[in-house]
Amino acid sequence: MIQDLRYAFRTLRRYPDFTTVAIVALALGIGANTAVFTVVNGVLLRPIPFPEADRLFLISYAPQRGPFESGPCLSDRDYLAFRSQAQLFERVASFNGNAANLTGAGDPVRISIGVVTPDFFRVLEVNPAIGRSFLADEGQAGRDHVVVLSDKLWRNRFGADDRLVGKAIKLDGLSRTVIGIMPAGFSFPYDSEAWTPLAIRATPGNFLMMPVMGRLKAGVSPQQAKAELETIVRRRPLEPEEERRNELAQILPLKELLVAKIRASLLIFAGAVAFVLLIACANVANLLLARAAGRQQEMAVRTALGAGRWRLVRQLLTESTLVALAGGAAGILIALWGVPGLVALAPPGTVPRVEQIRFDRWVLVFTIGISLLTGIIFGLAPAFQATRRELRESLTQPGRTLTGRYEGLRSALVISEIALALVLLTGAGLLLKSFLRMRAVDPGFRAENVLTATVDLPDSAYHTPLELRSFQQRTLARLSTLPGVLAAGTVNYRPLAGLLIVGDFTLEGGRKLPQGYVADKPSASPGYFRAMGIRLLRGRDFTERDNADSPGVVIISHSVAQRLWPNEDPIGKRISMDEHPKPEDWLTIVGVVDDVRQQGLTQNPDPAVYKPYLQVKHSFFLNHVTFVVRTASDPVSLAPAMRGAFREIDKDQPVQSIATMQELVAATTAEPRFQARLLGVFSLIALVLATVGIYGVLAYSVSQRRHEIGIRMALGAETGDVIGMVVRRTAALACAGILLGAAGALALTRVLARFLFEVKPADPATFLSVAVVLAVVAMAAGFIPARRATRIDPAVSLRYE
Amino acid sequence: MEPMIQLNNIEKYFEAGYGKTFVLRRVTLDIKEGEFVTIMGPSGAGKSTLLSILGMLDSSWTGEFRFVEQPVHKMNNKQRVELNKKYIGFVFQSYHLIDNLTVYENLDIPLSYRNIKSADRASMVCDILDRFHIVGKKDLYPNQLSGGQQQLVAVARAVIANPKLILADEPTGNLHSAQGKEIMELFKKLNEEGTTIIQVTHSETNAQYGNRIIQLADGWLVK
Repeated sequence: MIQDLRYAFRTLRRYPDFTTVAIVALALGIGANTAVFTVVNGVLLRPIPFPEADRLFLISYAPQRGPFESGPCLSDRDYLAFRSQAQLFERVASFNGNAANLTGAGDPVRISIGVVTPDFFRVLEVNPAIGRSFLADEGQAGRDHVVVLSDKLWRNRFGADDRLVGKAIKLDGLSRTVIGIMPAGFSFPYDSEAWTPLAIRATPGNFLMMPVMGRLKAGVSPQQAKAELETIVRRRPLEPEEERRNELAQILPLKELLVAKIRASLLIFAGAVAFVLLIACANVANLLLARAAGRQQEMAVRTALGAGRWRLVRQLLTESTLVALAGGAAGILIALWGVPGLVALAPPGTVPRVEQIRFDRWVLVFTIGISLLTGIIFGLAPAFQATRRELRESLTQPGRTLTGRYEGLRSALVISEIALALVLLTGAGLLLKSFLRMRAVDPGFRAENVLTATVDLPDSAYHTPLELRSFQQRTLARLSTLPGVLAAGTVNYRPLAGLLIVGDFTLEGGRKLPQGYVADKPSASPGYFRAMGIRLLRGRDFTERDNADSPGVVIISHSVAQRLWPNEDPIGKRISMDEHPKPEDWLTIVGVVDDVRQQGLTQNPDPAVYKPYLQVKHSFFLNHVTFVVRTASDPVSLAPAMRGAFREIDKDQPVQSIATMQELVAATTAEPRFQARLLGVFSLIALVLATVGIYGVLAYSVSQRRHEIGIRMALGAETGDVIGMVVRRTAALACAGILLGAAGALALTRVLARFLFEVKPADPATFLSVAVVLAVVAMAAGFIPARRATRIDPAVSLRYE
Repeated sequence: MEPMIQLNNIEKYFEAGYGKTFVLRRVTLDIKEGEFVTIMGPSGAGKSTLLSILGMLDSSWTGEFRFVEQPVHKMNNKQRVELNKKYIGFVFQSYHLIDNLTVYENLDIPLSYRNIKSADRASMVCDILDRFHIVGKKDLYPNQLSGGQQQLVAVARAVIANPKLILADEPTGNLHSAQGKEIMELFKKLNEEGTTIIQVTHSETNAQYGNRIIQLADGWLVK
């Protein structure tokens, strides 16, 4: 073996061109795989950082389809029943994410809060580093003014003050006593910065769904737990207004909560880089086949000296494995550079558990493993080819080569490369087209030159709707006076926020709404439509006179007008938000505005009924407010002035986010852009490798056919005939590869369906474009060898023969 | 009537470091239509090079070369290839059949480069198979034939397009004497039918089949 290694080293050094090309090709393939595996390992494979995390599960009995479909969760009543009856779990806890304004600790700031039942930390078996976790009764009203802080918040906002435990801090204006500080790095769930206690209780007529987790007793399987869950929830009697909607019992690893969304993306990327590696392997195998042809004399001599076939195969496999390991080493360097790039390329918040993404022994094992595997995969076929009996007997046939026998295998490898590249390019093409379609969507507003800022006003500071309206009014007045502001307005839930309040309403005259018809019900200020660039199609905008003292008015969106008053003018018609309206509850439609994509660019516009915020009577519709200003020039330059205006009005209320509408629109397409870009990069690598492969095979083929080309020229072939010969071969390889690839792409691009917008996985235009691109690239790759073939001097090539 | 081939001061050389290495020197020669000329000489004398020039396979030479009254020395490569296609057939010492084509397909190659309709090509290939008594071999590959049979196919391929001139480079060099004799008889018959033949050979016996011998030595025409 040592001798094999020594010989392999020497051989590889003797052919630096071959060695370099092979190592670079493999480094690209293995590097891309190592980079993606490092991410997959960190995000999907590494256990979550809790003791015996394999016993932590999400407990879910939730609708799987329809408008009430949700993530894994339990209704409050199911939770209470399960918590009291479950025998197979050591403990269960419910939790949810929230946010609150932290004041009195530097500038006011909005922080994310984990709202958790008291057993939460005990289920995870994670104790505070300082202080204690919640007591069992601290979920109850009156006892719940306590908070546990994250290490990060404690350090950043309280200077890591050891004496903080026992002191009070202000969250949403309410005093809460700090009882503990969690260990560094703990932020479960949802990157929480603090945790407040929660008591689950069943309120009549109210049905809440929340995530629930539990720690299974040792030795209990998730299947047994699922059976227990089904038994408990199904025998629980339903309350009068309660109904079941296709619920499915599930016991899922707790990690699902973090990784469920990104799993499909990561697996697609992993598949894509596996393709890249296969293409690299095919390339190197082709190089080895070419070299094997040149080494048939050597193999013959070795056989004559007594080497058995296995001995020769072992020698060649040692060489290929050595090349692969060198490629693996270079691949690790590429991955070291690529992983941070990959994570940086991902839009913020899309890759969970980023802190877990690092090189560890599993990444090393993976890289060495795929290096050895690829060494064997791409080395095996050439090794067996090179040691075939007839080749080993070639000493007895001096001057005759059997290189033509490799043609089939070499062609098959190139066809596979083209096919694999086509699958990747098609995937990237579909995602790109989908992304472009998404970008071309008319959102219903004009995003340019619009700056937004969102504020959440806590009940503790703003007790009445009057106070809330006053805050909006004063802030709007201040914002309107800022230099460069063309229009200013407010809305409670801005477009693309992903949040909305929907509901039905009553039509005047006894007409019923269509079955199941609901509309968004935003509260907006005068000037909001102008500031956001939403077209007023009919009627008028809200004015300051549309206040609590004047008759109620609404503005409806175009689709509401179309649906409810298809052939009539809706202006002047009346609706009510009450089921049984009194005379003063009727709201007159005073305007119709364009439809807006409230939930995202890929979602159809929701029908909307806008109410003037000065007529809104409930705090719930006014607590969360987004200020919108349209500016004459770059809106970003107005951000400091806007922040200053908020400080002037109420210095204790943090501005949650200041962002241009264009940034917010871009953020909604960030994930598709990331997917398209990443798959694009992988498919470009694949295309380059496949091009090198096509070039290599044709160049080699031309060099092997010098003699034949010489004969043909002697027999009358012209330049065009010779070029035609090479081009025909290129075309045949490309066609076979494209057809095979198209079939593969048809089967495989279906996995992309959930990521595509207005593009079908079998989109003919994309398939055709990618096929044309590949055909052109293939023909270009074949052009140099074709030109070289025409320069063959028949006199010389025939004489050498 | 002008000779079919007129060579005047043909020279060919390679740049070699400090000077030129000549392969052919001031070769002046006429060959009439219908002749059977043998070029002889020691290895490296320039025989094959002269044959390549005559067959338009080699274009880097100086001097004047007229072929069927046309000035080859003034022609570009495309025009020379046209002359080759129209008038010349080649036979090589190593047969130079294409390994991965059948006998039938090998015979079809020259026709495929001459704008002949495929139906006509098929009938021409069938004629030649018949004429050379190799119909039974038409689907075999070259490596399934003996050396003599391969050369027979190579000659058939050389004559299939009815060339006026056949250039044969050591046509019997790889054949045993009986096979060699058969091939030479074939050349003689073709010559009697009007085809001009120029062969390069080391064999005195083969040289006797021709009616003129040209000797080359170190690139010079000796007699």
